[in-house]
Amino acid sequence: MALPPGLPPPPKQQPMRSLHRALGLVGALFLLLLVSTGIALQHPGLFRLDTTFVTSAALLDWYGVSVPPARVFDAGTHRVARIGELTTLDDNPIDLAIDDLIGAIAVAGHVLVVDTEQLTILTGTGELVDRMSIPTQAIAVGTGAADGSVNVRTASGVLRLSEDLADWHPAVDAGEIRWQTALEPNAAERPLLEAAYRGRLITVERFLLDLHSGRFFGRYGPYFIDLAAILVLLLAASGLLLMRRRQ
Amino acid sequence: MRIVTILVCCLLLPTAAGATAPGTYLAPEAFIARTFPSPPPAGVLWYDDSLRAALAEVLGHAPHGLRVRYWRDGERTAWILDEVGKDKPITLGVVVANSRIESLDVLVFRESRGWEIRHAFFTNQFRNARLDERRRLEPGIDGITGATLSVRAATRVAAAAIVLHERVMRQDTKLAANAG
Repeated sequence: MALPPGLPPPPKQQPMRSLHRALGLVGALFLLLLVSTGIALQHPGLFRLDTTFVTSAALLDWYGVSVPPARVFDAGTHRVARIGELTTLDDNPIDLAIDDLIGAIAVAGHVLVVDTEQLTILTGTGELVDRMSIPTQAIAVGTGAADGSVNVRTASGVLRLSEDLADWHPAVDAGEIRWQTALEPNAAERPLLEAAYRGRLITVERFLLDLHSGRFFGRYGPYFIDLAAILVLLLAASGLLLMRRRQ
Repeated sequence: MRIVTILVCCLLLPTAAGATAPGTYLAPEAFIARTFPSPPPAGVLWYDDSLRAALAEVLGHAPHGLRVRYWRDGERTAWILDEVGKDKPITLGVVVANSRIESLDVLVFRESRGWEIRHAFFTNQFRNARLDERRRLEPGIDGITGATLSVRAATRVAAAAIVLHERVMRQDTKLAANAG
């Protein structure tokens, strides 16, 4: 379409200006990502990044988190479960280092969680009462059929826990002991355990670090971030050039 | 000469590697057996508010759990206590007699650094240490470069063991007074 006579022709789009604009748009998106994750990562304690976990199913699927089989032990009215490295009491995670769980027993209002190395005494609500080592590596835990005593089977014999839950003694006349065996989680427990397990694997700090470095986007993600950094460099260079021309 | 040097290196290398590895240096049961020729049964001390506050003062945090076990023979008590250095708990065995530290041993070390605190040149400093009016160990404990957090953890545990010992002794005095 012809221009009306007398009007000046529109200014020609300079290639450098167009490039600068395009670089600015793309670069701004990357800068937004890098700056927001960078600032957050500078203050992990303030934002509780290291103690908050990613719970989004989509993100956990992206990370390829799989769920190991779970084992459950009946402890009176309580249920103690183990899934991967996580131990739960009534589906609530226990924030204590527990080795290979071999059983759980309810005694006098307490829940005794037994792993191969130690006994952890909890209240019914999961509060820690005490922890005590087991003199020899435990293989199984069980209760005395006659007296309800707590016993652990080790390679060197059976040890019995004192009534005040403070000492181990060799069980001289052990009598009949009902050794505990692990159960499968029931239909209601399984999804809760799996969610608890998956929801405590990846901290928000890890997620932000992966976003910041580009590892979140896969094998070539870091190169992608490198490219973004180069784009920002080009943006700065083109900006300087444009400013020089204008002067 | 070169052969001798290589042989010496071969002999020392496994020792050095073992020295840096975290692990159990003295099993808790062995610590008790070493402390008491005929080990007494374990006693149980439940934390009340005042004890919890006194421990928080020397530990810098509330004690974990609701109770602690101890072994006692007369005026001597032995304690097995866990304290986190940087990330993981260090298990220490402390013997207290007459409100002074008799010995302190690193039983289990789980951290990746700071294992030097297990050596006698460090643990011997605690012998005869007591708490002053400000609830600090007297005499002070010299640190180890590169093991600052482990040194602090051991120092806190030593102070906590004296607080616990004094509580057990006071309880005993109260019981005796009530009986009288």
